[in-house]
Amino acid sequence: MEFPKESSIEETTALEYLFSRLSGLRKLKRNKASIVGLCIILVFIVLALFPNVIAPYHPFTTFRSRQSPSSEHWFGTDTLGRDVFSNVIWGVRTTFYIGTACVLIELVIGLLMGGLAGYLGGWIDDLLMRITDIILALPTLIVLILAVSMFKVRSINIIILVMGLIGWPYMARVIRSQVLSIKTTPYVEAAKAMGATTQRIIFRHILPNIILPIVILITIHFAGYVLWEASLTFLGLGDPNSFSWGVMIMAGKNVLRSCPWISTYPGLFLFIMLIALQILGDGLRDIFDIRV
Amino acid sequence: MRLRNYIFRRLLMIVPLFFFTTILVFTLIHLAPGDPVMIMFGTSTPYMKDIVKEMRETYGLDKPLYIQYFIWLSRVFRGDLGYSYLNTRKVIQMISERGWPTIELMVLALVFSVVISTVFGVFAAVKRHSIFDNLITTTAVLGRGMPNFWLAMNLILIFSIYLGWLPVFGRFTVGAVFSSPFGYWLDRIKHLILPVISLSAFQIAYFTRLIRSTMLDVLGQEYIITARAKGLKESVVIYKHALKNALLPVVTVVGIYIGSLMGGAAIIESLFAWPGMGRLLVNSTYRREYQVLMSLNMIIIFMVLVSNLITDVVYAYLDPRIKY
Repeated sequence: MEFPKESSIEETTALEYLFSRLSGLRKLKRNKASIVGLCIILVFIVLALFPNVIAPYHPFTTFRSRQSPSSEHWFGTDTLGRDVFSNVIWGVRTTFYIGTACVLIELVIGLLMGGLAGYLGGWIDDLLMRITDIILALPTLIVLILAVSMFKVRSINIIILVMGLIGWPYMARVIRSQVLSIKTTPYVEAAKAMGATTQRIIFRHILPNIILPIVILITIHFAGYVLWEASLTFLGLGDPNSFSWGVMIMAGKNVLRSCPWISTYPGLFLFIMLIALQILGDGLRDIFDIRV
Repeated sequence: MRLRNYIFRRLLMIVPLFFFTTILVFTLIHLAPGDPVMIMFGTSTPYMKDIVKEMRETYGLDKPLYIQYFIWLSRVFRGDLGYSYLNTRKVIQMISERGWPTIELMVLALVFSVVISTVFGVFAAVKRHSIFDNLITTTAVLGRGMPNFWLAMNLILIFSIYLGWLPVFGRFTVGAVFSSPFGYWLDRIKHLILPVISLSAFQIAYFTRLIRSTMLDVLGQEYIITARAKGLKESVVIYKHALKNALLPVVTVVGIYIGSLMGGAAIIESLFAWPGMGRLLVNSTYRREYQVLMSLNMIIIFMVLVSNLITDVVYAYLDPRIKY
């Protein structure tokens, strides 16, 4: 009697599997809040893609400074005479840049650390998880303040790098626990018994199954990174040359009494974005009933 | 006995963590361009080279990094946290006078958030699907997305600038003369309101949701039905049977949030010119105050670890099922 080779068994590819899992997104309809969140995020994506079409002025165009909101300048002008509304719209792109870049760094480190720890186990698991625990125990914002302030150049890329390097432990933990639980499922053991390569097990069997918790975590952490950047900027550690909302809020801090609109409107957009991401993340978590 | 062992093991964990974090912070702040001497004299003073060199030697900044670290370490073990470079004051003195305002702010924010969220959370759970429940849940969602500095700025705008009810900054009115202790305390409380609210807003939102959902969970349990069937008063059922169990997850979360509360305190203190450790930390990073930074970080991390430990112990005490 001959056993079939694993590759000859009819099997969905990772991509097909992913789509079949994500088709569960249709369930989103039942969760109204997350639909609202998703719509807001989509609007923000459009704003990030076409700020030149939507924003009435180029961000460097200057007008009479400190004008209060009017039909010409919806959100007024700032202390340098730039149109606040246009700046806020251009800021969406920076915000997405920050969030996406940080999440990518987090994902790479998290997959490496969590994946290795979960898949290999043994002393590697112990070592990697102790490192993760230590970083998780640090008060994040305090370490961020320290780390970012130590660079002479105030650059958005440095801030992103530092945030990504500090923000991964939670992701690593979630990935590790997911890998651990999936590693012992019958189908992975069956694949192993049939002689599947490690590569195949990881990419075909394990990765597609842990994608959902990762997506949910990314949604929530994206908001976290954006908030961290704004907080750092607010403390004077941001990149003054970037179009981030944090920089705009910071710029209005000292003229809060006379021109509150300079910092209020960028803050409002930040607020809306954070809420949209939060309710989307919460919604996804409720729908798929996944604890992260 | 087991619990004692557990606490002992956890305290042992602090040792490697201490070395890791101090080395990390030490390397970070020393690798950065610029040092305290440069901040003192500025960079455009070529003719003062000798003095700068001498100053560096005095402070031991010319030695290799690892030697500087060991010097710092040996001093710390002898209980000497060193002196500030800029005003030659003892670091321990600087931190001790800054510590109390921060603790005051953090403890009040924590107590405030736990109390408010318990009240709201329980109320929302008991009156499930009522208009109050919807209102509370919605507010909680909004509160979680609120950046604390933006909230603080809006609060200042509304309550201090437009309405003029509350002071904008500081811990008390500087130079004010109070006729009675009552007036003094009123002034102190007035200064506390806005910082405490802005610092605890996120926690309130988060805890409220948590308490509401665990409370709903608990209220559906069989022992609640039993308690009701026994004919106990509804208030006894809710406060004695349900609430005690619903608060369990909150204890864990409170422990976790001590660290982020410290970070929040740095922002809120900077905004309200609150004379606390967070503001000292932010200011010291600009001035490259190595000694102050090292000690502050040590203390903050120690505080976070100890509060995590206390959380675990309290949790074990509240939930007899937990074994270590």
